[in-house]
Amino acid sequence: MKSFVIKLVKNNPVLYRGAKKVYRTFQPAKPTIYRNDDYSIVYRLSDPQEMPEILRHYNSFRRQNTRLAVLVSGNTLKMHILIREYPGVIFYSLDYYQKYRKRLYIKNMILTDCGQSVEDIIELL
Amino acid sequence: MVRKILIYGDLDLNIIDGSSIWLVNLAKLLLGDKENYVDILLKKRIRNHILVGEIEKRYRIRLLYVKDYIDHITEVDPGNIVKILQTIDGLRDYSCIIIRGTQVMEKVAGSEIIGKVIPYLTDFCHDKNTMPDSQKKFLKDLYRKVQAYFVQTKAMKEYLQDVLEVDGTKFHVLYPVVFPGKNRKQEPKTLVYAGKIARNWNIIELLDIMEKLKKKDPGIKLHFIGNKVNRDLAEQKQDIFSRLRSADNIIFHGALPHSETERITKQCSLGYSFRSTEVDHDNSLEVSVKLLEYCHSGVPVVLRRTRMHTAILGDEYPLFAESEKECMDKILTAFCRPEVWEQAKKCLSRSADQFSVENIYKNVEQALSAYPKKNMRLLVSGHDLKFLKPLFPYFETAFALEVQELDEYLEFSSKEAGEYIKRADIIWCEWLLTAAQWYSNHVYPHQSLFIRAHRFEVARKYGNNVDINRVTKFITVSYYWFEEFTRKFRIPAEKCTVADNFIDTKQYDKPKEADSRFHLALIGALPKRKGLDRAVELLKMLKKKDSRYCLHVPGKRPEEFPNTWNVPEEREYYEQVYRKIERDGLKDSVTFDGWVEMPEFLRKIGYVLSLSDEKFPESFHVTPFEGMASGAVTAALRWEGIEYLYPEEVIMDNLEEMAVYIDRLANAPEKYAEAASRGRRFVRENYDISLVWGHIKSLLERGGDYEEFCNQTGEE
Repeated sequence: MKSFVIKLVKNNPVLYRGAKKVYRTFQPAKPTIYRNDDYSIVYRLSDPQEMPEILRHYNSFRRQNTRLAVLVSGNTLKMHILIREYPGVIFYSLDYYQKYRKRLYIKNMILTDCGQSVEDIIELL
Repeated sequence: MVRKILIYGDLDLNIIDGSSIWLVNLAKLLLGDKENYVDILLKKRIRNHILVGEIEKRYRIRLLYVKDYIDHITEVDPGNIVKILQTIDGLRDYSCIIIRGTQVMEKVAGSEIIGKVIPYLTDFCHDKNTMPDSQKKFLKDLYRKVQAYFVQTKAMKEYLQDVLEVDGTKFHVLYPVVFPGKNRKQEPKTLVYAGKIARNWNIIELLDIMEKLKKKDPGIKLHFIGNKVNRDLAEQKQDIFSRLRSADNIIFHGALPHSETERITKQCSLGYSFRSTEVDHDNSLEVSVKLLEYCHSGVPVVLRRTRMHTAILGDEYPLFAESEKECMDKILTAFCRPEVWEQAKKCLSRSADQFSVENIYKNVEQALSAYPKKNMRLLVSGHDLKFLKPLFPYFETAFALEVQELDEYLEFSSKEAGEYIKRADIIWCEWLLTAAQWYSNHVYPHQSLFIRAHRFEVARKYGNNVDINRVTKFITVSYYWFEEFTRKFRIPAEKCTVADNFIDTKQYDKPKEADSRFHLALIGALPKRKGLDRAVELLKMLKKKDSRYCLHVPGKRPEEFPNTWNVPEEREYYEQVYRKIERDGLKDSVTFDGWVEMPEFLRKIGYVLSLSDEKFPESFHVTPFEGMASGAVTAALRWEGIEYLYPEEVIMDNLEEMAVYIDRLANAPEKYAEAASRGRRFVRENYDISLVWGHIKSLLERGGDYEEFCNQTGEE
C-alpha cells in the first residue's frame, strides 16, 4: 500500500508538489554541506620566477584528488598577478597571516618542494 | 560562439562497464575542443564517483541530475525522456544532443527535439537477413530525420548503408575513444587480462592455459583484473575464484579503478583477448574497446582472427589464434621470440594512430558541424553596477549579455529573477547580496554562477545564506578581501579568486594643466571613513609650505546624500570638518566640485589622495588609480590591505610624511614627472581594462579550471 501511494504521488507532479510541501513543513531539507577532501600539495615561493618549476614538479604526479597551493613570502604586490596568471592554483600570502595575526588552515596538506622525490609524494596520496 | 552539447546514454554511470566508460571518454574527447561545453544527463544520481571523478570537477563538463530540473522525477527512462530533454533544452538551448540507447531513441524520434539529435546506436540486429522490418523502418526513418548519425565502425556504416538503402552521408564513424596516457616500462613474461568473467570471454580456457604454462615456463605470470562474474558462469564462480587465488602464476587483483587497471596493463608485455566465436566472428560490426586500449598501451594481445581484427591490426599481425592450443602457443612465441613480439607491437602502434583521439575527433567535428554554434548567454544581476558597466561592451563581444539591474539591492524580485534564470548560461552577481543569495539557491547544474564581492558585504548576512556548492567562483577585487570573505563566510579557498577592478587607462591620457602640481583631490569623501578630515589637515600642513595648494572634493556633498546625512554620527563628523575648514581659513582652498567628468577633472589635479581609515579599509580604491592613469601622483595612507594593491612608494605612514612627500615632488618638477610616469606605467601594467577583461573572460569561459590552464599552456 505504502509503495503504491509513493508511486502514485511520484507520478503526478501536482500531488508530488503538495506532498513535498507538507513533508517539508515537518522535515525541512538539510543544507548540503560543501565537501572537498582533495589533498593540497603545498609549495613555498619567494620569487614568482619559481612558478614554472613548481608547475613542472606538481604536474609530474598530480591526481584527480590533488590541487596545487602556494605559500608566497613577500611579493604582496605580485599576488594579484600570480592569481591572474595561474588559474586553478591557490596562492596564500604568508605576509597577510603574519601582519594581521591570522591563522592559516589548509586541509589535507602535503608540504613539499621541487626537490622532493615524486614517489614519496605519491605514496601519501 | 560555442557548441553546447548534451549527451544522454541510457546507462548508469555508477556502474563501470564498457558503455559508461564510452560515455565518459566521449565527454573528454569533446572537451578537447575549447569551443565545446558538454552536459551529461544522468540516468541516475551519482553515488559512485570512481568513474565520473575525473570529469565532475571540469568546468566545461556538467553532470545534470534530472531532479534538479523536474522535481518529481528521479530517474530517466524511455517514458519521460522526451519531457526531460525538452525541459532542459528549453533552458540551455543546445547545439545538439547525442543519444545512445535504442529504447529512448524510439521515443525521441517522434518528438520535435529530433532535429537536434545525433543518435549513436549499436543495439540493433547485426545480421542483414534477420533484421526485423520494424527495426529497419525505425532506423531508416531515424536516418531521414536527423542531420548526423554516429556509427561505431566503418563496417557498421557500410552495413547500415546497405540495409537501410541510404546514401550514408549522414553517418559519421565514432570509434570508442581511448586516451593513451603515459607509457610505462613493461615487465617481461607478464600476461594481463582485465574484464569480466564470462563464458564467451574464454576465462576457463585462460585458467587452463595458465596451468599448462606453469609446466612449460613457470616464469610466465598472469595479472588478472576484475571480479564481475556473468550469469553464464554463476555456477562455476567459486571454482573460478579458487583457481584464480590458488594458482602460483596468477596475480589476482580483483576489481580496480580504471586508472589502476591502465597502470598494470601498461606494465605487462602481453594481453589476453581470445574470445569465443560467439563474440568474435566475421560478421561482427563492433570493435572491442579493450583491443583499442591494448593498442594505445602498446601491449600486444592474443586474439581471434576476424575480419574486424584483421582490418585493425593488419593481415600480418602475428598473434592471431584460432584455438585454445594455438592461443597458448602464441603466448609462448610472443614471450620467447622477441622479433615476433616486436612485429606485433609495430602493428599495434600503426593502428593506434588510426584510432588516435585526434583522428576520432576529426570525424566527430564533421558531424558537429551540421549543428549551429550558439552564444553563451551571460546574465549580470545586481544594483550599483558602476564597477562593471564599462566592461559591458567587452562582455558583448564574447557573450549574449542580459542585465538585471536593481535600483536597490533590497528591491530584488525573485519572480523577475525566475524568468532571467531561464535564459542564462552564466550568471554574474555583482555584490554578495540578495541576488547572489537567490541565484545560488536556484541556479541549474548546467549554469555557472560567479559572485563578485567588494567590501561592505562582509558585514551583511547574505554570504551566510549562499549555497557554496552551487557557486562556481566567488570573486573579490583584492587579495586582502579574498582572505576576509573566505574567513567570514567559510568559503573554501578553491572556490574563491581575485579579479581586480580595472581602469580604462586610455580615457585618462590627457595633458595636465599648468599648476596641477598644487591641486590635491579626494575623490569621493563619503562616508566618513574616507578621511575628509585628514585631507583638510593635510591641506593645512601644505598651506604652511606653499599657499598655492588647494583641495578638490568632487562627488556629492554629505548633505546631499541622505544615507550619510541622516546618520547622526556621520552628520556630526562632517559638521566638524566644515567648522575646521572655516576655523583654519581654508574655505577658499577647499572646493566641493560636485559631479565631474573624471578624465577632464583630473587634468587639473596633481595628487589624488587615499586617506581611508586603517581599520575600515578600501577594497580597491579605484580613484587614486584613475589619478595615476591621468599622470597625477597618488599619496595614500597605509590602510589594511593596501600593500596588495598600491606600490610602496605611494604609501605613507602618517600625514606629516605625506605632506613632505607631496611638497618635495611639487617643488621638483623632474622628480614629479618621473613619479607620475612610474604610476601611469604601474596602472597600465596591472589594472588596465584590457588586462582585467582578459582575466575575467578566461574565468567565465574556463572557470579557473587548472586542467584547462595546463592544456592551454601545454603543461603535461
